[in-house]
Amino acid sequence: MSGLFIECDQLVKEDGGKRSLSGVSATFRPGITYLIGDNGAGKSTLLRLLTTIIRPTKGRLRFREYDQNRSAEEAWRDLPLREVRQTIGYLPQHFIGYPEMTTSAYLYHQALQKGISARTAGRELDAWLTDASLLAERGTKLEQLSAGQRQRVGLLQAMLGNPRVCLLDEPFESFDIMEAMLFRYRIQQLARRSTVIISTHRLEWMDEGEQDRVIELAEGRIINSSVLGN
Amino acid sequence: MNGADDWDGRYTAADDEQLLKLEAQWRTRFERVTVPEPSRQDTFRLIEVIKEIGRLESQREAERQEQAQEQYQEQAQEQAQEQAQEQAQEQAQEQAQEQAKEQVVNAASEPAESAEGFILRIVSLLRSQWNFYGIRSWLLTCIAVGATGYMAYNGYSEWNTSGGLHLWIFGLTLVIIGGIAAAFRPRDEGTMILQQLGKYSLLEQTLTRFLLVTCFQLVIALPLSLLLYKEAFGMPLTAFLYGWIVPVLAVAVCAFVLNQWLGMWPSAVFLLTVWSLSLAGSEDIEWLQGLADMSSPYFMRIRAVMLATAACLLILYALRQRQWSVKQ
Repeated sequence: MSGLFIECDQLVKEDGGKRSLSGVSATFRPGITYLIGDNGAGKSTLLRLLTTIIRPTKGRLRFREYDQNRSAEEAWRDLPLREVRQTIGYLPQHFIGYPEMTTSAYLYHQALQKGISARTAGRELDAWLTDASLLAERGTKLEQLSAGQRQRVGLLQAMLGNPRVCLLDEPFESFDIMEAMLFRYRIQQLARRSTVIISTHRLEWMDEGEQDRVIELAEGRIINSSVLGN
Repeated sequence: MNGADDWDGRYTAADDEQLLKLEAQWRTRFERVTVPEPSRQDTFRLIEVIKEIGRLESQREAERQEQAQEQYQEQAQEQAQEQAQEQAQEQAQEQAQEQAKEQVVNAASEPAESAEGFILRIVSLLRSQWNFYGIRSWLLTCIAVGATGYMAYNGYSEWNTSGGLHLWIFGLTLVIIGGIAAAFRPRDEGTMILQQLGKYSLLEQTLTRFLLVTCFQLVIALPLSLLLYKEAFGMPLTAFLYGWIVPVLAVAVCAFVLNQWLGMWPSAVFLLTVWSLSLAGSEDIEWLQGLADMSSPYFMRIRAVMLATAACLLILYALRQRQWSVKQ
């Protein structure tokens, strides 16, 4: 299973008369794509639309997969909505989760939600927590975690089950340098086989991978799009 | 540009051009990216953490490979009756390697099992929703059911047994549904989105919660009400069960469908209003007495109406869902 190609065609989003996206057209490919821009540029709105849960006012979204083992005519396949939703991992901008749940209970619940079997989830839970340096917080309620710890839980749940599309809204917010470096390494690993879209205003955490792309938004429009390696 | 030893002290146009190019590259890099310098300790710690992750992953990979090999060997033994042992071993190794490779690609967690059966899917869904509410919450709900049942019995049995039963069956169902709906409510838009991403749709999740609530009611509250109220009524068991189960099912179905159409709070307000009105009017309106009073001639009829309403709502809901899916 590899990442998906996401095609946005003239996406418009209006909320209460205010237009937060004005005709965004772009294609997201497997690998990392950074969305940058000032506050209010429309980065988070675009990510929310890409989850398919929030609907655009106008425009169209397509999720396509490319199977090189099939013939040229059948290689491209559009994924239905239900299948798309099973393949998306998402970290909202201000991750809260369910504050009264403990870290381990929340991650276990999210794992089951993503279709990971109860046995696997139970077996791997400690390993996931260890990877994110959260083992000591397994019994702590989400509301009692520090901002950085809660963000780690958010990132962990977004990356559980290796989603084919991973949408991360300000993933390095509240992180210290160590946490950010660790998760950047994890995200790079995930991006080898997934489509990862990261919204960030901290340009210092952008990689300069050969194939990583950057899209700059301003006032709900794309004003620049390029490959970072170039 | 050549190395320092070969340099003859003169810049050529090509050197200038290359320097300009380098300058432009570095300028862009510095302007665009200002990476904070990690300290030496930070770097060592990071290396340690990455090593640890690598060590854990190789350990897990080895375990998986071992498991895969064991699994295959079991299968291979069954097939090997007709085949030579050497061939089977070769295949076992190949398949085990492939399986291990796949699992390595899937890294820390295996993806959704796409080929799982219907029953397994239902079990996983039930487990996920049960786990969400948590054992402690279910136990507390059990205690609340017992306590309110006893209080309703004590408070009403002396002067209005049917009123007590009415209060308990309808009120408690609504309270439990309300409590669980409140526990599951997403606190912000991000959580609302997360709730709908995944293997199970929001509809499946909500339906499962209502199923759990109904089963919970039937398992916990029904035996208790038999103990508390049956004696007071002196009625046949079948009539008692009918009188009990129908309202619980009807309220659960109405709550589920209204919750889907109107949202949590409007449907809760609507149901509580209907319930309060029926409770208040049961003294004066004869047919409303049939809600709880088994001696009332309307007792069976009102339950039949409840069942019919619930069935109609479910059919209407299914039809609307179908139309919506087609439009999608």
